Amino acid sequence: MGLLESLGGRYKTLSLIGMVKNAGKTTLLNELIHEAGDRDVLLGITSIGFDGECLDSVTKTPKPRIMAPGGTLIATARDLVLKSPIKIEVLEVTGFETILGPVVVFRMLRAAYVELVGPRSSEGIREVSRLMLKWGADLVIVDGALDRKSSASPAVAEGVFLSTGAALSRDMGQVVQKTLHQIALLRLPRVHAHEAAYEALRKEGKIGIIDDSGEVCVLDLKTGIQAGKALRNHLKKSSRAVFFPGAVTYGTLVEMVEAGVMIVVTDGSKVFITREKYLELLAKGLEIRVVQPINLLGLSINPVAPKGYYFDPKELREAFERHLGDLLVINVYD
Amino acid sequence: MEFIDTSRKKLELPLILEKIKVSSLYGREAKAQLGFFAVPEELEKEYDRIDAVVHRLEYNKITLSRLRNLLAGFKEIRTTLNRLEEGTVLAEVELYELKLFALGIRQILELLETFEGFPPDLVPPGLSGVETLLDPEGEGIPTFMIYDSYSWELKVQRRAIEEKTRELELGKRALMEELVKTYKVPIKGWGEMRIARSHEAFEKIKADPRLSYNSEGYGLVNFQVDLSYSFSGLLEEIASLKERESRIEEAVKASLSESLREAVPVFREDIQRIARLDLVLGKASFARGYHLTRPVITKENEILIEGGFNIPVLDRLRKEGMTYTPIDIILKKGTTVITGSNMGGKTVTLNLVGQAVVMAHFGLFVPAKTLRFSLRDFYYVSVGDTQDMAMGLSSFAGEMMALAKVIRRAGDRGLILVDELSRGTNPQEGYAISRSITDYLNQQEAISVFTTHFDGITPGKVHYQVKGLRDLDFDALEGRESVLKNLHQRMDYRLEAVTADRQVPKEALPISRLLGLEEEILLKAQEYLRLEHERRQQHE
Repeated sequence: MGLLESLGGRYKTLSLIGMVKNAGKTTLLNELIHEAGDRDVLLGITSIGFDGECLDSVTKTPKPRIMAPGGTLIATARDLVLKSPIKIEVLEVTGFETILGPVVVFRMLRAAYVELVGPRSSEGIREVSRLMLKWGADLVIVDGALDRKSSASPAVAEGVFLSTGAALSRDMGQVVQKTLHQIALLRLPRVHAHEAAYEALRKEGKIGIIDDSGEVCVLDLKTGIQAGKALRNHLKKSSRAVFFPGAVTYGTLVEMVEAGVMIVVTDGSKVFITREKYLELLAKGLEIRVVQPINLLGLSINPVAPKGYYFDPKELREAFERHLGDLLVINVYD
Repeated sequence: MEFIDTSRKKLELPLILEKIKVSSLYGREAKAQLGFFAVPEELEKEYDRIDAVVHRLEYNKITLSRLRNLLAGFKEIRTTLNRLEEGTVLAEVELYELKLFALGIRQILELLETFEGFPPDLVPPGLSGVETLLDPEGEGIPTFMIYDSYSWELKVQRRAIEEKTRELELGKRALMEELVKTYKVPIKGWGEMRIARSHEAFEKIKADPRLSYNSEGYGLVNFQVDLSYSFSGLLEEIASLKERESRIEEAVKASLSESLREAVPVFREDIQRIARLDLVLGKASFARGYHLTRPVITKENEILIEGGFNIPVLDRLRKEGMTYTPIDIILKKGTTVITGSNMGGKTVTLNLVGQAVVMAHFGLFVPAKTLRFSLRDFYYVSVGDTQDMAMGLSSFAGEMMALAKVIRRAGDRGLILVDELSRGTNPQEGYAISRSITDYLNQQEAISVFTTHFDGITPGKVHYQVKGLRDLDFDALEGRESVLKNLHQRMDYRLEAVTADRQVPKEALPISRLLGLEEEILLKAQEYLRLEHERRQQHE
């Protein structure tokens, strides 16, 4: 498939996120691991937290596991290696706690299955990524937790692969539409005026109103969700845009659209809105920009759903390629 | 030695103690346990340590910051030590933690060696034996694995596993190539083949023992290359080699744990020394930053302060660009009274006395040019509103309840600091009670300091008066902008020993005028004051 080749060594950290369970994210990870082995690329692998659902109810261990070749650097929870027979060289014990003890960075001395439970926060991911790079990794892959879109944030990794597949809907048209909508959000364009002001607000984690001249009015409202109504009282005629450091939903967006101001968010992973509502707002003149654009590197598709139905792989792929043009689309089973 | 009631909080001690910066988790614990030293000898030793460190670090900021970085790097290992003592065989991660700790201790020791005559009881005993044990190949790298050099047999097993695994890998590749050639169906790098049920080779593949059924989607079936058919002998061989390897590794870990168990007391001593070192570094930096000095312990029942200052107040004044007037005061057993203007810093002074003596008793240097003190048996501080909302008491009731407790202990060498005694009740009775309390405490061993607005509650005894605004021309000040700041700057905070018949200065009205109280009200107040004066004179 030549996934790694397509990256051309331009990125040090990648994160993988899935639209839905069984979208083929783990298969994609296995593919990347395999390619890295062939190309002598030393990988570091971790995950952003882990999904509660993945906990095996009997063994209380996360699944699925991945087969990591000897030499691979791993950042995972201590208790997962404490009693495991895998052969490791311990490199660091970090201060990032999980329910299974602190996240430990180690080198696999021999190929083995490992379970991944990494830091939950993006700061934690950045730090363990840094440590794995320090210990010699050429590329760090972050297994983004299911339904945790924050895994796509540029705060987590430099580039993102999105996985989608038949598991999302029985209707192929729905799969394509829902995925394209998500991609549209992830690829929201960068804001091009008063960047420094937005960057300052982002760092402080504050909501702020920016007017035509770039003047910033910092508000002490805590979160974007449900803040829309309260915010409108602060808007003036000259208000041009509102920055939200955290997540925004339809309720907030509609207030801003009606007030006629642009919405600026940290990055595309912070926008939560269905396709229908998004289209409705676009028709009303929604303008939305980001401070940190997400670097979407590719889309992996899985035409087979675990429930037993499947789509024509070629048809599915072409449907995406028609809309996405330059974006790399790969079928994990091709 | 103890604080009575909420005295510790009243002194703003948390504000002061937070200025002691520690770097390690062990240092933080030691700081949280900071309290009174029981005997003067131990206190002197602590002062010696701070003294030594202050002098050695005076010109060596870089070493100090390196020392702090090293201290910050120490992780919690006590759970691991406990497990060792329980007889547990440690896992690689735990062995790593102990190795890292030992390496950290060595780096600390190397740094401390550059100081001649560093206080020996701040120097950790060191863990060179542990280091050698966990770094058998002498790499000096802060990582850990079960090294080949732990066992010759282990090394042999590992080489054999490597060799056989390579053999298996080559066999697997050849097998996969052959399968692809036979069925013309691609196989994923990790050995997965996916074909439709309708594929012409499906039945053959299904029957091929070299491929095993894995999972299935509608119409598509996943097969996995199965090595057990072609390589059963090799697989068994590898499995038994690995099993043997694991057994040897377990034995290695068991023997390492055995040796480490003996070093547990040294680990614990190291932890204690690190904690102490960290805390003393914090105390020394604090002392240097605020020009704190070493207290002098005396056997006499007295407290002498020269050039004393109240740290939180100093910080606040500095922020506003104002300077602080240091205070001198001598306190003997019995009662001392401080009188003076409103805003004249009586409370600040009272707090300063408490802070300085408690800091000294905690093994800290003190905010004064000189502090001479004797260890106190108890501390009672009543500053601000003592109203105990939780108990539903008025401020007067709260004060009386606390004083009842304190008076029972006044035969001990305590320190009693009370701001505006009996402020919560009517002036006549308040005066009477104040006077009888001060009379009583004057006969006791405890050192008591009271601030008051009442005249003559300790007749015949020397007391202190804040100089205040006595020499100030009030009219010249009026109407000026930022009156408050002006007032602060004009206020003479120094204490003056005066004889008891000197009246409490009457500056409440001029100060109120400066602060903007309505002239009409002030004139009325003056009138009432005159009437009261006349009434008293008639009585006399």
